[in-house]
Amino acid sequence: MTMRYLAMKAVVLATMALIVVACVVFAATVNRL
Amino acid sequence: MERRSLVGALWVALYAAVVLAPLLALLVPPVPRGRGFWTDLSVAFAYSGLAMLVVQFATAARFRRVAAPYGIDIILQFHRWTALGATALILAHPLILFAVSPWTRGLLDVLSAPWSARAGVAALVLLLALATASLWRTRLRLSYEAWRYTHGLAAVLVVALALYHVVGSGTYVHEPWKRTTWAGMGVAAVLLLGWIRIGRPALLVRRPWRVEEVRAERGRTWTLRLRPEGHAGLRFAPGQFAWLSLGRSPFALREHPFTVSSSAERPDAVEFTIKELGDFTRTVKDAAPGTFAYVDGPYGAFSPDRHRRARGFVLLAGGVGITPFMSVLRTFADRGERRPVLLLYASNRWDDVTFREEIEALRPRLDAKVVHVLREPPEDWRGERGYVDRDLLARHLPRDRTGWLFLVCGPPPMMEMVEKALLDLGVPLRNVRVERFDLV
Repeated sequence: MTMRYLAMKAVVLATMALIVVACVVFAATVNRL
Repeated sequence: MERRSLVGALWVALYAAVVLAPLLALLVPPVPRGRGFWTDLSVAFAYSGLAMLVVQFATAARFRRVAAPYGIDIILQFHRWTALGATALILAHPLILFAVSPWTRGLLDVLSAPWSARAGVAALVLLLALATASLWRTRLRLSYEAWRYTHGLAAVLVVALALYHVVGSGTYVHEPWKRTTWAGMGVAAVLLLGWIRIGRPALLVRRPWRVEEVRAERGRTWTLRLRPEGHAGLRFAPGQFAWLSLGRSPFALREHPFTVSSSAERPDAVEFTIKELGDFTRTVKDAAPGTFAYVDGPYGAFSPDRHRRARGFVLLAGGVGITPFMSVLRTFADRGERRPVLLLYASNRWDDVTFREEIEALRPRLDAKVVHVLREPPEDWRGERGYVDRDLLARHLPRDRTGWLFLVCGPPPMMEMVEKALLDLGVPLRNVRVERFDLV
């Protein structure tokens, strides 16, 4: 895997992590946790 | 930061913003009452997954401006990986619900479940089928055309069924504007697919090409020469590729990505060199002169022109992977390029070495060294044999290769071996570029 592919995979993983965190924040907010 | 990297980062930020927007919109007051952390987390996963699915239509739309900083191959790989991410998020939605609220398992009973639940189940089943067909298309022996027909159609159905499920279930979307937001995303998906299947082909109709010549090359390979009909042709960089369709209409889904093999300095006619490998490639030799052709391109970031400061180039080709490098060599010769080039070209048999005579003829016009590597050499062969491995590279790479660019194109096992060997030899990863054929 060259740099471009590694960078792309890193971006996908970072985006997925961001989405999961946002989902957790959402669930915590609506449940007043 | 380089301008290209900055633009690339902005597109990623926009992607994240669009995917998270529906979720953030739900937090605009009146904030809905919670139904338990896990239940709400499962719903949030599904909403985010669905938003990602809608954006999938954009990453498949071959927008040249979006692709420019990365290359379309990276965008399509991004499309593939984010599809898996979206599928995982959506799959997590029922799994979490089944675990925390066992009554919801009853919604799987399609006979008694409400329509919104049926739509949700159907969307999920279709999404899993879509992912399976895309990941294992060749193993499932699904033709490229059959896959393309079903992929877009199934994707629209998944989004439509999922939206029906969202609105029907009514969770957090009581306010009309929130419902409108989701409906808008559905419309966006349909518009994007319309652009892919109708809008872009309609633009291609105005730029037709005709087959001028079909030339047999060594190694069951054919070169297709196309002339523009009433337009200026194609401006491209050596190493780039285009989607090619042959026949009366560009609306047909029989279009395939091929690398341009001709010189970028001669845009008035383009050549594609195609090896007989699958259904479509076997028919290329039968294209009669005068046949209409449509060229959607250029695409791709695999080009020495993106590396103006490179001090020299090592081109590593395996089999038909020579095609982008033919374009590079021909273009360099036409330009009078003086930077050094080393071509390492692996083939099975000497008789099958595509373009070997022309490469020899181009050599005096370039500062080029050519090394052929044969897997099944003839008895009197005195050149390199076997695979392009670490030892072979160590024998031929220039001692001082600081600032040299390494371009690799060939079958995946060869590319992996070459990449590892280059790393072993201390070539920085940032100086290595590979071109993959298996876009889909």
